[in-house]
Amino acid sequence: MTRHDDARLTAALSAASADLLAYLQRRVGVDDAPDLLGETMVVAWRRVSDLPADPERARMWLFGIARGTLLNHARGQRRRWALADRIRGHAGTDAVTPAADDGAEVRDAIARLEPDLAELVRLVHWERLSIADAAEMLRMPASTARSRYARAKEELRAALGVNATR
Amino acid sequence: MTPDLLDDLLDRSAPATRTAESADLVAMTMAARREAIPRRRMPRIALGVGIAALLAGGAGIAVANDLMWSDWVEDPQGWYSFTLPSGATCTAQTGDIEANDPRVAEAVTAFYASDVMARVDVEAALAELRSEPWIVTLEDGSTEVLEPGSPHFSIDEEYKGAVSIAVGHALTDHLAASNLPRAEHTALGEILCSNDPVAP
Repeated sequence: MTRHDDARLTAALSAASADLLAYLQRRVGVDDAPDLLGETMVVAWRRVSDLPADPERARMWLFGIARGTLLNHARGQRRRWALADRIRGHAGTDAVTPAADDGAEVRDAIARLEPDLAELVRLVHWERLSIADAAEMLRMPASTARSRYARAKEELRAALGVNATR
Repeated sequence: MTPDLLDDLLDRSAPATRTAESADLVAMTMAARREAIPRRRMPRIALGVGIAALLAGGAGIAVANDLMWSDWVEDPQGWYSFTLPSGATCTAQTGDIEANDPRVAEAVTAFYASDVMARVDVEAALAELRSEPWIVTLEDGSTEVLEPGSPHFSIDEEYKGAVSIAVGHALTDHLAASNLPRAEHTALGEILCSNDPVAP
């Protein structure tokens, strides 16, 4: 690792860690997310030589690593971090987004989509990624992502009974 | 473009999230770095003291710049003194030692209650410090590599950092000798030096 890489990753994590934590919280809940953030950071440091030079690409690189830790989590890999307890403890009072009651129905409808379609919708609407960035995270061509996103929205319109415009 | 009700519904369906303290996220970043690069692993107290020394007058870990100790230092669990290259003298105090494992807390407390400076190799730590980038996070969240010529570098601060590293290594050795090689703990550390700036 070079001195330059070290400073760049420190800066990239400083800029993205709050968003990474929110991303992980939306997928696994507020209790498990800090542990996965710790894992994400460890993997990032181990792979620091792969860190993209462009800050926005670096941010997406970190999200890609976070997605990998989520997949490992889904496979049953668990690890508890002592530092994560501090984040869990301090994160108990400040809810950034309310748990809207009417959101449950929408979340259920998303969850009934094919897994790739569902994650595409979540990345675009929950993490506010562009379709191109979401496609990169999901390792699919952008054109494929666009067509799948359109299909996902049509399925959601039907499931939720929502017209195309208001 | 006509707004789409479905887009609104999808946007608002995001599950609730909770913010974390930025200091905790920075601490986790540094802990992850130490885990990923174990060659530079050291206990958090050593890192904390090092940053405190390097950011004298800055935020984060308390550093008295009015030559007054913080309240917790009224009951320190250990202290040690050393002399800087400029001839100024420094005293470091440690307190609020906590660990999930009481054996770890006891071992750490015993270490700081001992003659710490008799157990450290500052010259070796200086050599180590100069072999790798020494990065600090400043008050505004930006980072800086400390080296001769950088805005916050000084030879006294570098020495303080080396003392902190040396103390960290000695503590690691002490814990390993106590069969607690991967002991996790937290503690507060504070350094006062005779050449610290005095608050107006």
